[in-house]
Amino acid sequence: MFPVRCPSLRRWWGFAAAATGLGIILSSCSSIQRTVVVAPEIEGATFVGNRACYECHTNYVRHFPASPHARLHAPDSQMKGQAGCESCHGAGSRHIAAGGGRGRFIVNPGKDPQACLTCHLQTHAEFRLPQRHPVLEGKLNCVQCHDPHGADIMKAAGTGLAMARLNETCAQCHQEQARPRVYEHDAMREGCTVCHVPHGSINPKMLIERDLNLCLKCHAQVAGPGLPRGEIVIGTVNHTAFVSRGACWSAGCHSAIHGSNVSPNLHY
Amino acid sequence: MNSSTLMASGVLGVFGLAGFVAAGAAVDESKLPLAATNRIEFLRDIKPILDAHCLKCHGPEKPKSRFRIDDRAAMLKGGENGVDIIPKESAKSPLIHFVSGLVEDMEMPPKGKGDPLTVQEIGLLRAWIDQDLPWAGAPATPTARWEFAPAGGWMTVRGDEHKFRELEYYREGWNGGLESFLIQDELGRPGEGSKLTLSGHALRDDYKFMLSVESRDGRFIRAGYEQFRKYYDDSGGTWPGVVVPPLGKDLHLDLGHAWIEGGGVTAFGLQLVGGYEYNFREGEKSTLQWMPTDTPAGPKSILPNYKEVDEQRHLLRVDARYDWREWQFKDSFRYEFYDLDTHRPFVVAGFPAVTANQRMAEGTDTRNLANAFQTEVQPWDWLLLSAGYLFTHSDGENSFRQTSTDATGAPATGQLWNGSGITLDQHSQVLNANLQLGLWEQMTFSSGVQTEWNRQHTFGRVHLDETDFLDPNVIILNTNFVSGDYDRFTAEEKVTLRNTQLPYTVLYGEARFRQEDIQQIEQLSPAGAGFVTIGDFFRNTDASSDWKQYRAGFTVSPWTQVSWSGWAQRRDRETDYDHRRNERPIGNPGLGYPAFITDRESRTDELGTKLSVRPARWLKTTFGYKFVTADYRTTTDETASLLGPAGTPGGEVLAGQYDAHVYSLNMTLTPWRRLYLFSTFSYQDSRTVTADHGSLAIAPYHGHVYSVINSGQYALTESTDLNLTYDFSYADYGQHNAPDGLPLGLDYRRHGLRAGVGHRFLKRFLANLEYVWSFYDEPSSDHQNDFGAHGVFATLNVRWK
Repeated sequence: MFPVRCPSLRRWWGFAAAATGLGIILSSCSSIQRTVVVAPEIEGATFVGNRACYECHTNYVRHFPASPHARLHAPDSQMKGQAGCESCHGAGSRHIAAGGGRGRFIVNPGKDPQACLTCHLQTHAEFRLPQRHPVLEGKLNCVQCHDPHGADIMKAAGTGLAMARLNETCAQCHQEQARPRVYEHDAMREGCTVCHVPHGSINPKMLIERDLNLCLKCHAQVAGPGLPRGEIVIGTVNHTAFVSRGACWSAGCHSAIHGSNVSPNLHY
Repeated sequence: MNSSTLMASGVLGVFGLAGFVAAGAAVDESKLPLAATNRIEFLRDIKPILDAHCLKCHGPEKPKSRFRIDDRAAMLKGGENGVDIIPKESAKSPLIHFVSGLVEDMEMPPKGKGDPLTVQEIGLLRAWIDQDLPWAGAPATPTARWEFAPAGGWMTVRGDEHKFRELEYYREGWNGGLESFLIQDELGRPGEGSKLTLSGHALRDDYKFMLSVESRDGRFIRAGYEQFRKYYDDSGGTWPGVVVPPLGKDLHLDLGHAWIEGGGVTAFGLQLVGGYEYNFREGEKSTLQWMPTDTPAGPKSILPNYKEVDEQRHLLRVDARYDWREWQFKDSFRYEFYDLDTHRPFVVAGFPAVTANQRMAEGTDTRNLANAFQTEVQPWDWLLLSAGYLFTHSDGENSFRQTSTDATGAPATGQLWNGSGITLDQHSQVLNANLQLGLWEQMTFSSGVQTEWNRQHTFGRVHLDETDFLDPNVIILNTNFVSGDYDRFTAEEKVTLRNTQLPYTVLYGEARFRQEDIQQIEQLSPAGAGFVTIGDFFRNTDASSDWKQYRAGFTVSPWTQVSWSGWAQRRDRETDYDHRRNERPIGNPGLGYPAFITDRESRTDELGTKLSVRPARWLKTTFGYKFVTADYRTTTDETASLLGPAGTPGGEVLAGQYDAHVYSLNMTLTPWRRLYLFSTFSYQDSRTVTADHGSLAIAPYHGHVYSVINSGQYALTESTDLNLTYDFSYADYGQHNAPDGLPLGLDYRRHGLRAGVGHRFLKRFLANLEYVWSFYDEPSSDHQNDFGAHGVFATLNVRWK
């Protein structure tokens, strides 16, 4: 294989520290009016609370108490902006004083995932794993799958009825996998997330497990007393030789893993 | 009357209703304050009054009674109930009557919404109207704005270029084009025309164009097109001592979306939006259906594979919304038709005597019709009700075709299954109702119920033909009928209770339930004469599922620096299968799959906590921890009557267990106004074990994932920024189950660094120069997927108004 050397982390941290230090030295005498702030801070604005937002944005705010985000929001919370409207949109006093208006002294995260990832740290980390939905790359966004204002967070914003229907969010894009078939894989009835991690995974196809364990969580069975230890029988078929080849679907056998129109055992 | 209704009635038509009222009510104009006599300057005399007393409710966003005061044309147009200003006739203008308090219950601003205008202020407003509302000197209406960011760069990769493309979402070599562009202008007369916006980006393999035209009365047309490319690695698995060549194909899918929509508000307040969407996915993607090859330990499926994808979807949609008093009505109509086609090659090694190259093609043409109606009403502040009904109907045709050839393309021994008229017919009806009690009080109760009835019928004739063992040119014909029907009824209920009575504290409890009953019949019959690979069968199963999910937790924030939350969650799922008939072949008792599992249970418990501390305005830290444990239990029929002691006696088995600890730590730091630092660390330790009966081929799926995300920005000078981001992730799920099994777990480490400098000059220009480094090391693939990459990208942002 070609030689790839990974420079030590220490060297890169040293570079970063030196660059930062150099920047500070170079600019120590200059006067800077600009500031690099933590979004969504809005210069000069103060928190007004959800009630003030309700006056104009009634359709969004009146559902908020039933939203999962309301789990974190106490109106008298001391740490202001904790999961209320203003935690994502910024303090609202100047926006109100200006009579509202899209983007006027207010942050509209829209399709920017940073508003969500500020709190959802683990999700942020998952979006950096090798196999992921390309949200940080700007090709997908959070509201395509989640409604930040609605009662059901597991539902794309602005779609259908109040509760998510099983698999409907994934089926928006993955119709080929979610489409009806003559012989269904029963696992589909428990939802796509039985096998897949929705944000990101180390495994190909964003699987929870890449190997036989994924299937055996459902398809293991009590071994017969006469079955030699180390052998695996699934249903009526001794799978010992098959499982040594790889996982059930990637061994080339049950390759129609989402369902089949011709094979009840999902072979094709 | 509650406060909300009071507020609504007070504000409703603040000015708009005014015209309506004034037309029929006599106002004593002698009581009006006298108009000022000076020459009015809008910025000096009028704008401060409007900003202080009116703008809060009559600004550009959702103005009360649709009356705006931030735009002269809109102001003259009036509100939803008529004209409020009569130019040059202030004494006749309803606006002046209201701000003077001469119309009972229509004083402006309403009581509690602001201080009344002074006599001097009313005098200035009168003079302004009498002087024909001069707007000169007012903030300019939006003028043309142009922004372009041409960009270009080069990325060089050493190692597996295909893996690089898959992980980074772009390819090596040059990349460039327009990183972003924005054109905003006004069509028609300044201050009165429609707003035109054209934006997007155009880079290599990644395009986005959006066009919108929005009029001042809310009508709009939007259209767009976007497309990006998803790359796939073309390598398969690995085996010690066996070199697995990659496919040598540039695997990628192009994913695109085009749309056009238009809408507006009709004269009687109906909001209508109609549109058309087209989505496509086409290209070649890798699959995990790897192909077998011989190794010293026997055949292993490690040869890479791919499939061709051609998916096209068209969607017509109409959305309507109407608000009437406290009621809101919405209707969404969808008509969708899609065409999905996939082709997948496969090699069957040594079956039965020679290697056959199989090729499978699947296709479906489906039409979906759906309509959802929803209504919502908030009769009082403390009560919100909503309900809805969804109807969907799908019908379509599916096809399947399989061919077997040898290396020269001649017919080979193998399967020739095909079917072209497998029909699908599906109906769904969904009912939904929700209740929310106690808005804004210290206790909120919300609940919802949703039922779904679903009927599906599939039927088709398929040909499960085989070639003769001895002569692949001789085909044995088998004609079969396939069918799969079910009736499914699902009910979901959820209840949420949220309490904020304790100071600085939220307490909540939630429960969600789901019951499902399915009556399912699957059939494959009758098999034709001759060789049949799979036997005919008949299955009639009643399945009932019961899902329960409970969650309780708290959030407390007693000090300005601290917020702490914690929760516990339990999720139980159980599905019971009653196989009323299981015959294979038909007429004989069947054993094994698909009608084999009689009960499935899973229980998942989760505990989590999150602590946010902000000891100073410039420092915020968050620590999170989550523990998840799950048990999976399966109960099956027996097969001992068929297989003897080697067969299962049936019964329940603890099929699998999953445990995970997840830690995350974040720090956001702005120690100086010019410096911003962000760092997130995440660690996960998870383990999955299953009932493997001592098989050495099956290893626990156990490992750790570490992730570090760092970014920093430093404003070096007034015009120069420095940016640095560094990401690292690492996992060690590698397995050591060779030679009995196939190690599939992944070991890798990945570094990514971006260091850039941005410099503004000549007010309109911002130049960015960025160095990119990416490194990937995968020991579990014997380093076949490793790569290292360096690149430089430059962007020049140009903007002017």
